[in-house]
Amino acid sequence: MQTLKIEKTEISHLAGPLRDLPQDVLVGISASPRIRRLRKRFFENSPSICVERARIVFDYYNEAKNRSLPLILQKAGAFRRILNLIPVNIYEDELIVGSLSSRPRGYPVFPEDSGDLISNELNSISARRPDPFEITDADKTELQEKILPYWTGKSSVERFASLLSSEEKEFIFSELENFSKGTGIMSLSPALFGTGGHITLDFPKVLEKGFRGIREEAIAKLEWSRGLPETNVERDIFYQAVIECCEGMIGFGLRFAKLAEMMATKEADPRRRQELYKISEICARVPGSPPTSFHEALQAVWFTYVGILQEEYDRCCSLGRMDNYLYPFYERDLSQGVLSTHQAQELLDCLWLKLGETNFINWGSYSKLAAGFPVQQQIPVGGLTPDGLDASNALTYQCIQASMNTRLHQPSITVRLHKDSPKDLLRKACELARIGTGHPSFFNDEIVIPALVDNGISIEDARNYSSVGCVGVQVSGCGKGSHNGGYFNVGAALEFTLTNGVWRRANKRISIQTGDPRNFTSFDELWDAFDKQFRHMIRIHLGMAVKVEYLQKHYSPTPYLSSLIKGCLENGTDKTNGGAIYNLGMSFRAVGLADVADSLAAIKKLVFEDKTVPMQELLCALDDNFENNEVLRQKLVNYAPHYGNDDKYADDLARDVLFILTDEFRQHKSYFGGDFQPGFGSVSSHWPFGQVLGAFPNGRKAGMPLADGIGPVHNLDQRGPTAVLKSVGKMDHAKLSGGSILNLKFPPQVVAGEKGLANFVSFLQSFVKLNVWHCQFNIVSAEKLRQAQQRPEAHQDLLVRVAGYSAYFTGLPRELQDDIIDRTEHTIL
Amino acid sequence: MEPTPKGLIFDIQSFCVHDGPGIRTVVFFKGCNLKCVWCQNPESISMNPELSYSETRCIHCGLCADACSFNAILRTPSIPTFDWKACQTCMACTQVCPSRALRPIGTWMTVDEVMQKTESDRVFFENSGGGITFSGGEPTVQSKFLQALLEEAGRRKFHRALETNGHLPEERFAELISHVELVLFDVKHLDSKRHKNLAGVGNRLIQRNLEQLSRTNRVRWIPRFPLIPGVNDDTTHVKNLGKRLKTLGAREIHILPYHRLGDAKRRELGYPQPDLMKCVSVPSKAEVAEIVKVFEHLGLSTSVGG
Repeated sequence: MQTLKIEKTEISHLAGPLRDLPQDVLVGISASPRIRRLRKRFFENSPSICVERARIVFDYYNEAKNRSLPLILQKAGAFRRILNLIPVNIYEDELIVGSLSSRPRGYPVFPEDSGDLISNELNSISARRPDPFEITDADKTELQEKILPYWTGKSSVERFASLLSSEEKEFIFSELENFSKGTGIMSLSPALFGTGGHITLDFPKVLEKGFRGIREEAIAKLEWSRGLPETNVERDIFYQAVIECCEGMIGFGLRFAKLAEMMATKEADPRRRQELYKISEICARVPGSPPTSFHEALQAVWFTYVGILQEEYDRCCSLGRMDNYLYPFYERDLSQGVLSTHQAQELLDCLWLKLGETNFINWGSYSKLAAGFPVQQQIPVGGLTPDGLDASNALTYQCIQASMNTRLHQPSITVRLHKDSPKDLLRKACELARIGTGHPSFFNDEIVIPALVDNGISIEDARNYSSVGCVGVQVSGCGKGSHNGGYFNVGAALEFTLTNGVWRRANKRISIQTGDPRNFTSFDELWDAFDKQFRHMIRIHLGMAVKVEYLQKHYSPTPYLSSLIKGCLENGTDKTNGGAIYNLGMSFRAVGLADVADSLAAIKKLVFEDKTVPMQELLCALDDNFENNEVLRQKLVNYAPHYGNDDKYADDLARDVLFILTDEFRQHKSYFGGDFQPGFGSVSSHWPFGQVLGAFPNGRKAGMPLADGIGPVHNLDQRGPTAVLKSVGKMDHAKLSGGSILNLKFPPQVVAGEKGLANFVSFLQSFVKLNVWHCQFNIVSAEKLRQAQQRPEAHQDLLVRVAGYSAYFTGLPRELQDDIIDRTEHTIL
Repeated sequence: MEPTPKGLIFDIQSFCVHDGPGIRTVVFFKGCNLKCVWCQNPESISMNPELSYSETRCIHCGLCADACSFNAILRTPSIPTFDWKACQTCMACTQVCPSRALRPIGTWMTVDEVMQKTESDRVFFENSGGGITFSGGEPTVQSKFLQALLEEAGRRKFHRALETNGHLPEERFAELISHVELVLFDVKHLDSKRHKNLAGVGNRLIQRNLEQLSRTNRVRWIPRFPLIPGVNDDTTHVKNLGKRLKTLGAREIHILPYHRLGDAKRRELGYPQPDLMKCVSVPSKAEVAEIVKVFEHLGLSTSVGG
């Protein structure tokens, strides 16, 4: 770990007042030997499938007495049983304990939602790419032959399919291939697993009350409810379910206390023995009772989180604003001398490593939409307090440092920026960014907060938002969650415009007819057709989203989650039934903005304005995938304006496309009457979404990926990241509360050294000023440059920057590329 | 009334971080009065628009050959062949090339047109202490246009940096530097004869301008040393250069190590590789570090790469 070299000449304009930041926190406390060992061990294990949860749940549902219970009590009962019986483990060197299965990186199966659909996948899941999972033959047999058949026909996906019209089935992604010949135009996968996850629980409540306190609260509410003259069955059983969940959580902690004590008595190493006794004390207290120290608080948070992972398939949940809600414990312990900053760092690093172990088993088709074990456990740090003041503190810096020390793909740390964010914080965040792990995300409070207020959130709750999923935002601890409603292929709307509703790949009409473009005499006519196609698709997708919410309400209550969401206990209502204070609709990831904007720009300019390309020739070339007309394809690429270059022509069209999206979304309401939340983000869905589409007027060939997120098409941003930021800044982010992902590539030379760090900080300050929602940096390592040598077409936006010179990497001859790779490897950051 | 002045510009590049403080936009002027053998921006030397051809972008459609009235382009089954001598730079081929493999280098632009491009980067200058850098080629060759541009940039409150070889009449130099905040001044070789061999002109005028610059209190200046192995990097020369700069009041220096990223551009313009440079290699990290040591020892704060 390199120590930061601060040059005297530069610091005066960089550093704000140091306030009460301990110097070692500002500089950064590097990973301890323990953390290095834990990290190494992480890579020695491969992800695998664990049967235990499924086994426990299977036994539970097969007991006659349980079968007659109302669903919500079954869920609570199963939850409690899981926490009582699942094997508990404490691994060597761990300080924060709490595992998901019997072995490291073993992940559970959730047949209550996935039914037996995963059964066939098990045959290929260890060999598939991406995202393989190991499984023993014995476990596979047990799942396929004994456990999963119980749930045949009972998956969320099958129930969903039964509610769909044939038109809707046409549009949905191929995970429903068994039920429809899906086109892959849209996908609701994330919402179909469990209750969709993407939620931020009220962690502070656990720290304040413990599960005993929450249980007491539920008991009191139950007594009150039963004492009323009118019986409300739903309310009563909700409270009963919560009580049972609390029992489960209390018992879970105690099992670890017992295990730790037993291990301590057998432990030879005196230091580890002490640690185990301490762990035992801590687990005897949390999560049942409120924590009294920073270590206990972290353990309570982790136990709470493990609970989420055991109740349902609820992925991508946020841990909320840890740097704020843990701060009182941190500060008290430090000031009383019972905790050092080094110890605090090690504990945080331990928690970070635990989060790295989380995973979810996707089936194959979803793995392609979201490849790379996407788990997206967000930890937002920094930002504004509910009163509008800067919220960052020493713990914020230590959290960022934890990401620097652990360098795993998870958790996803987000640094919330506002116009007065301290420069120290920006520097720290940039130091993390330039390591090249892709973390952190940067969110812009200046635009996020107004967007939430626009959705009906109070200003205090809006300021207290958490990041969730990829680039989503939501209220902390008081919202329904289920944030990611799936992916939506905007490119398809363009294809249907050009084909009068026909899906090229199958040569079949699946959308409405909006006219043969050969007959359009003006761009306006084409635009009207596009507008109709786009709105039609949105209506279909949102209609399906409401059906998903219906299913979640009826088949997937989550009393454990609900116990930690404000409003649910107060109303006596599960969150799937609208119990939370805020019940917004899901958020959706629209994909393909840049390709669509560029294609429309090409048509507007070359076909209708310059008239250098006849519409007939264009359409034939598209039908033909440009096989016989490379000249035309090149013209479309090189003689039309492109989004992402700070060019008004293309950027205005992108804005107009976005307007249709946000305008149409506004006209629909979710199951509980909330606004839906559109956004632009793709994870990796821009690959499969591109695969299902034909050629485009921006020169994109059939089957090629679409641009990701809200960024430009990869080989078409020619003017560097400042121009990209300017273009993206023109989009109306305030109406995109689903968030919009912007990935930026930087060559490391640009952020190297003290000067580079200062420029990086400035760039981010401009990002805030330009009202861009999100950005994330891909600092291009030597490794990535080598990949670009192999696949130049995928890396055409890679810049090379040296003094007085610039080029795009892929345009250079081989020997110069090697030279630059060499330089990159030796660039000291 | 004087016609609106225009300048021949071959690039305007955003997000430059090695050409002055902060995040900057660099305006590259076409045309240079020196002929440095190591030049890596060969497209910047001639004071005329030029044609550039990129093999990697070419799709072999042959439309360029059809468009050429001077038989300077011949179709072949693969990439076309170019008769650069026959080419009259009429640029007809660039207008039909679908992939922009053929491009004109150098566009005549007005002050307003240049300012429009730089204005859009203002938000990045503000936070970083950046601004506009005028480079090239040699911007002072188009002295009137440069001045008009500098004055307008000043009126708009941009920070202005000038990269120059310093080879121009002293009065002109004095006038131009009164309109900038920072000068990045190339120093190539102390010995005038050697300087002439390497760059096409002796260095006496350059030295006088450097002295003039050092006497000006208003303007910050930083010497820039292109480090060319075997040419100007022997320890004695470096020491003497450092001492000279110290005497003139320099406190820092930028070393620009030789690189060959411009070789590809030479091919695209149809230029031969200069003989002298065929034996010159890119300096190693260790070599650069040695030079840094020498300068630092003399009290010059040294940065590598700008």
